[in-house]
Amino acid sequence: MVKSIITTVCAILILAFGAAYEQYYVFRAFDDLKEQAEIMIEKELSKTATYEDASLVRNQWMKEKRKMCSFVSHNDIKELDMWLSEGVAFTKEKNFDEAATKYIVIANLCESIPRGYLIKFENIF
Amino acid sequence: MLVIFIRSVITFSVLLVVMRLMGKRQIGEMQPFELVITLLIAELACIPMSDVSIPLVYGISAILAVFIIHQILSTLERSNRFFKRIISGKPSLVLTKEGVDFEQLRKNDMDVEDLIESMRTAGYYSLDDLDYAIFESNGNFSAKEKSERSESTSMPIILASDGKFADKNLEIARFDRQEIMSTIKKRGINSIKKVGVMTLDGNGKVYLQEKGKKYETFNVKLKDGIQW
Repeated sequence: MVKSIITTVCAILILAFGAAYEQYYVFRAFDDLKEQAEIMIEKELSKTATYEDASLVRNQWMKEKRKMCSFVSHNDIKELDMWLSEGVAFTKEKNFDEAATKYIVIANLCESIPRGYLIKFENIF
Repeated sequence: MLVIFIRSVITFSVLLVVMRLMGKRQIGEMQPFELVITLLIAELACIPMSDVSIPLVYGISAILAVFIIHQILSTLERSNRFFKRIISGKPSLVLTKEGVDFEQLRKNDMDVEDLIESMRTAGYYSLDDLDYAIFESNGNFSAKEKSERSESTSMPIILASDGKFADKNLEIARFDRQEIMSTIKKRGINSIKKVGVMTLDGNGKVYLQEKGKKYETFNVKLKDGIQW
């Protein structure tokens, strides 16, 4: 009896801490990326964005996504990878309008993906 | 992770309710909630393992959720009789000294033929061989043999069950519907619809039970040359 109570409590604690960390980590990581995407949008619209800026955002994301793979669907991560790569490529070619649209999509994804981890009716069913 | 936990709780509850509603026929030797866990764990472990686009943490947290539910249900079941009945159900006494309990059979989504089949698996061929027959909550069949059980070498066949004639078996026994009707009328049953079960063995021994009443056994004369 004591053994089952201990194992149950341990399992509940693992899940509770895991869930809390997931909520904190996923939201923080996506908030950071969204902030960087918004800066890039401003730079793209003012046509001051450089290839180095875009690469910095992408490199930052590459570091973050290694940890994120544990919590976030790999398909979502691939999608962000794709939009970021396109953003970097358009920035390199100085096609600022196209690059801005890519970063707008990234900013939107950074809002919508974490919403999928909230305890909401539409996420549960 | 919390979303997966809640989804697991919901899926588990739905499966458990469905398994309980389906009755004991769907269950092997496990309690209903143990069967649900077995079904769930296999899938939960399998999908994240084979689909690399799903983080492994999803599968682990769902399995942990199922484990927590199992521990909670087991504790509730052990500590309280009421919960035990809700979670695992209770044994069903389907055959007594009075005869077949059709209501209990119906509650478990079974009929007399299913009962006879389970009896045969346990080594009993006539309803008259047993004092009691029970379907345990884990789906097992238990039987208490009659002390004066006859060692008949002939297997009984069903002539009528649940208010309906078994025409193929009537052919084997070379009886027609009128003859059966006159036999049951002599025993005070005026409609075949009132017959719960009527069997006949190769020695001419009839087991007849009217729905809601005690069974009776008697002998009839078999036609010449009939044997099984």
